[in-house]
Amino acid sequence: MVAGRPPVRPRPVTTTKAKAHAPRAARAARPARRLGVCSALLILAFGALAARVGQLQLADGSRYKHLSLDLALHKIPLTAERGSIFDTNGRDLAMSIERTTVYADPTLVTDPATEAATLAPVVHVSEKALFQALSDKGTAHSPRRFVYLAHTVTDTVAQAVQTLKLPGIGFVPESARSYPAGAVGAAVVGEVHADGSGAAGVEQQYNSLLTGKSGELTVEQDPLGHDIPDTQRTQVDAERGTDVVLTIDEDLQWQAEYSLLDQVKATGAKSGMAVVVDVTNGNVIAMASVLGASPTTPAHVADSGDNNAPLTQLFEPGSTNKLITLSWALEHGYVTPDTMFDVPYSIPVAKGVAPYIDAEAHTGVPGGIEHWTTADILRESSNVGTIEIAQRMKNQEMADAVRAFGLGTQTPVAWPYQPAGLLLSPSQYYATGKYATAIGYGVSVTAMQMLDAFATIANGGVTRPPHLLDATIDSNGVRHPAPVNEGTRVVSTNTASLMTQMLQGVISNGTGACAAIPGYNVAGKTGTAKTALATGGYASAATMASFIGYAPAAKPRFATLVALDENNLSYGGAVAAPVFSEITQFALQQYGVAPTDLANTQYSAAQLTAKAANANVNNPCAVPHGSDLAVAQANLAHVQMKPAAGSHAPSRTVSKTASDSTAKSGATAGAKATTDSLPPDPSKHT
Amino acid sequence: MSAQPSPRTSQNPNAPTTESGPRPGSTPRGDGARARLTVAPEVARRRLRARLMVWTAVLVTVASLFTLVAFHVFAAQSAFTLERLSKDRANEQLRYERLREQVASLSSAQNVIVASKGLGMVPGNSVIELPAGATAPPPPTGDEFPRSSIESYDQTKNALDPTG
Repeated sequence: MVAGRPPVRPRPVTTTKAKAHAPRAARAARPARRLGVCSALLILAFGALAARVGQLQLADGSRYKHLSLDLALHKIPLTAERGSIFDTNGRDLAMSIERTTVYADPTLVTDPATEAATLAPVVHVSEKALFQALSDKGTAHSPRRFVYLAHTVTDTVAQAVQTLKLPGIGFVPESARSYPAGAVGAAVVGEVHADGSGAAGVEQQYNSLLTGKSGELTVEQDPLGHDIPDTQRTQVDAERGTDVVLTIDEDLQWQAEYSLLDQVKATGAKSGMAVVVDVTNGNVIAMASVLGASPTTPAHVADSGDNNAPLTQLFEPGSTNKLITLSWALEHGYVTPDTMFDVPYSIPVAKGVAPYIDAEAHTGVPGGIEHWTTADILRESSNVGTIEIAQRMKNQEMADAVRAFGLGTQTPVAWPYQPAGLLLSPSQYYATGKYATAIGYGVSVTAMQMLDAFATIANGGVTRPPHLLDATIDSNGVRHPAPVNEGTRVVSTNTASLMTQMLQGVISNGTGACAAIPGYNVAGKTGTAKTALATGGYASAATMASFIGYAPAAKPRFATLVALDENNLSYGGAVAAPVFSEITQFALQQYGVAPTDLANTQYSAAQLTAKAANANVNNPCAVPHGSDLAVAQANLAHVQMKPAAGSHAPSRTVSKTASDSTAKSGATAGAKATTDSLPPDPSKHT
Repeated sequence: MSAQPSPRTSQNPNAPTTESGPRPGSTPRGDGARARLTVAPEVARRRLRARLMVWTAVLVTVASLFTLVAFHVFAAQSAFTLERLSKDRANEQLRYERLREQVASLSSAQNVIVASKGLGMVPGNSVIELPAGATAPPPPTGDEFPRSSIESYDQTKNALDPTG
């Protein structure tokens, strides 16, 4: 505004006095220059700053941004919850649950000795270990601020520790694996490593399914570890692991373990195993393993870290393999159930090789030659008779038979380290291989393979692939039934039917009388094989005693295998058949299977057979429990103390379940008095 | 804006102007050129409009700020609620799992046997099969709707013992 401006001062006239102050005046007279210089300096300064800012923001911006984020961003892994394992009825066999872990900050602990003494009885950790942990405060440069005291304690323990209000003691949540069923099915379910990954059993086999997908939480935190509000925060939720539903029935599993354990205790067996399969669908509904007593531990059900014997232990099946031999011979027309054979006590198969013999002498018949039909040979479990049948077959046919029934290949049950078994090649049969195979020697199988062979006959000649996985349940709760393999026909329906009829005779009047079940017809076969030694040859007084059968015979529902690795000459019909009866009876009743023999025709006949062979035994076909078990164990201890009786089992375990012929023979209780066939020493033949 | 004569005006100074010509009564510049004339709005109206605009801007700003603050408060409140609900959910999940474990443990065969033995129960010596009469209800087919246990019990009892 021009009007408001002061009038322009006239330029002063330079005088002498004024000249004296010329430089000062000149400076004062040039404000524009000073302003220019200041401006230039300011511009320069701000320019430099702007340049630096530009450099930082534009040129190196991304680098510094990443550096900043690297410092501030923290990724916290979110552990996925491991899937549960259920039995076929949806009961929890294994589940993950959050528990409390007790830790300490030793730098805050004032009196380690007192705290250790106070905590020890509460967290059940030794006082010495606690004292060491609490005393270790680290160094001045790197103080020790965290040490575990007790992992995944129960709520009660955690609460008790909290109540103590000890300085330096803290709590963190930690996921723990819980097995609510306890020891039931422990060897099947397995266990996990400390890091939560599967270590054994189903936990290992289906580890990839059970393990979920870990998530991640990304947050910006300050140097003290506090979350910075209103900053980047991303979370990828953890995906829970898939639940696994097994075909195992917890109740039946318990019954199988209970019966087997008491029998192992009563007979002093090294171990035992039992498997039950539902013939109608191939479900493995019980799979038990029991370990016998050792000098340090009593007999007990296999623990989570022990082998699941039915799928991992190889053994020679013995006479149960005669099912395969006879089925193949029937199928290919070499014999019928009524084909007659003259069966001597022994049969030579090659020059220079000891003859095969039956377990007991054929006394009471002219020349020691029995006139038996094929059905009689199976009922009497005659080695010689079976070898006579096998003589009609070619080597290749014998090899085809065992392979057709699934021996020599892994069963469809998915299981870690499952062996395929060992079979002789027909080219290696030489003089005795075919005959040894025919009576169950020279082949090694798993229990599941042998049970599968019987289930094939029970299923009308078509294999019924067993499986342990019933279904999976994904993280969204959707159930996916496990695929089931289709069966393949091995023998005709007629052959299977004929075999079932003959196998019923084994129960009624043969070696398997103790397997009879009141109200139901049972078909099955005993097996007793001398135990192979790791050094070669066979043990003189140790057997793998087994029984495999199915019921009801007319319309099979369950196939069951029981095998005991005995320290003495015990026989399948005496020690395994009673366990079979108890387990299978429980299964039939538990699943409401209608009785098929209300008149108890087979059961009564079997009882008579068993009593005839065990006149001196009160109840030869019962698995001892409770006080009876105590008596049996006392008897066992008494027998074991007698050195002379070392090769003989206690009276109960060698009780004969004789057929008519053995009853006629008048054999006394002992190793000889059995109708299940034991060759004198199979190692001499193979 | 200074009222400069337009080129056209300079070409024909006597030509009447409508928009760009000087307003009547306006004082011509000293250079002799005529300033263009415009119709000026009333000062009062201009002031009113300006005030309105200012007030509107202030109101909009305040309202926006208030909305923002309110939104932020609600968001923070929701965040707290969400966090509380998440904690509740986690606690309930934990409680459910522990109860599930407890139920599974108590109902496991092993514990049931121990408990039953503690109550003095013993396994039965034998199984007694009850023959069903001719009027027994047909066995379930599996796909029919399950009957009540009382109804089923009555029918079964009558079938087994018609006299009783």
